[in-house]
Amino acid sequence: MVPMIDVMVILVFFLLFTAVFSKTNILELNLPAPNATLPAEQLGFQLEVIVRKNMIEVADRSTGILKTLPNTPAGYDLPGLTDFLQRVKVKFPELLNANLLLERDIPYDYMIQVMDTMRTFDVPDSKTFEKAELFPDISIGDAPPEGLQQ
Amino acid sequence: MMSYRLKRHRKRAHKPDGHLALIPFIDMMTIMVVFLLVHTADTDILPNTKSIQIPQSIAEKRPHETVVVMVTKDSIYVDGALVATLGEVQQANTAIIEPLKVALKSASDRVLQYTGRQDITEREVTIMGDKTLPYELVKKLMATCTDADYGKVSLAVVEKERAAHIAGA
Repeated sequence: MVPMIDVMVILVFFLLFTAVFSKTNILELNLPAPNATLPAEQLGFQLEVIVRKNMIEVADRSTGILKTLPNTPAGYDLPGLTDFLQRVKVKFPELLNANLLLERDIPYDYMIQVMDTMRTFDVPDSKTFEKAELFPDISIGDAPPEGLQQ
Repeated sequence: MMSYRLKRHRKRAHKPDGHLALIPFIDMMTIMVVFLLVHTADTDILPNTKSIQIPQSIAEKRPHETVVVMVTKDSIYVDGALVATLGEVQQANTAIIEPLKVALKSASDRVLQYTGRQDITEREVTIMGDKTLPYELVKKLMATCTDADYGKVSLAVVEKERAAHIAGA
């Protein structure tokens, strides 16, 4: 009996110290294969979210910038981005893909945060933390130089 | 007059017990051991991330066995083996990271499942990056992974706690 308890105590301590209590998940990307042909330029509305050093711009590829969200003292204006993207979603309910364009030295952390904001939004007034879909198919690319219209 | 036997029995029954109650103690321990074993079993797929801080996200997909590229603040590892330092990458200044490509090509023979070796769209790689890495480097990593014939690239993230997420939003 006593040796068994000893073993158990050691096991409990060992497992407690090696346990990792933060759960690690993965975020799947859809990247094009290196030899894939470029998809034909689509017509119509193409959503772009451009992350710059001190602002986030929401743009349509053909018509240009729709909204500029300057940084708040707390950092990027992600609540503002959610609000605006929800308005875009109301106008284009079928649209699922969006382009995320980043400047060269934006930290990786912000890339993930903006991607999360673009994918889903919290349904207001729900006590179950429900999430609704915005634009889950995100492509990633380089931001065009500032002030330049494509 | 009480019998001697009964008196002895009462005396024994009411004696304050000097021993620790062992049976409940063992029960509790068993539950803890089982809980911790089960809990550690499913978090062991990705390596421990104490040396780097990976970003938080609301993504809910569970990781599975893939090739893992880990990027700390100063070096790149593939499945635990050092392949390049970020200084070298900066110096080379190419669109893809050549040593990483070589390492990924050889890793694909060892780790990947049979279907993955046949069909490049089935090959998977998970990138674990420190959250301070610039986008430029992340782009190079992703370009290198696709260039080394990996069809699926995933980013490792820490699950965001609901309460923290709501407070932060």
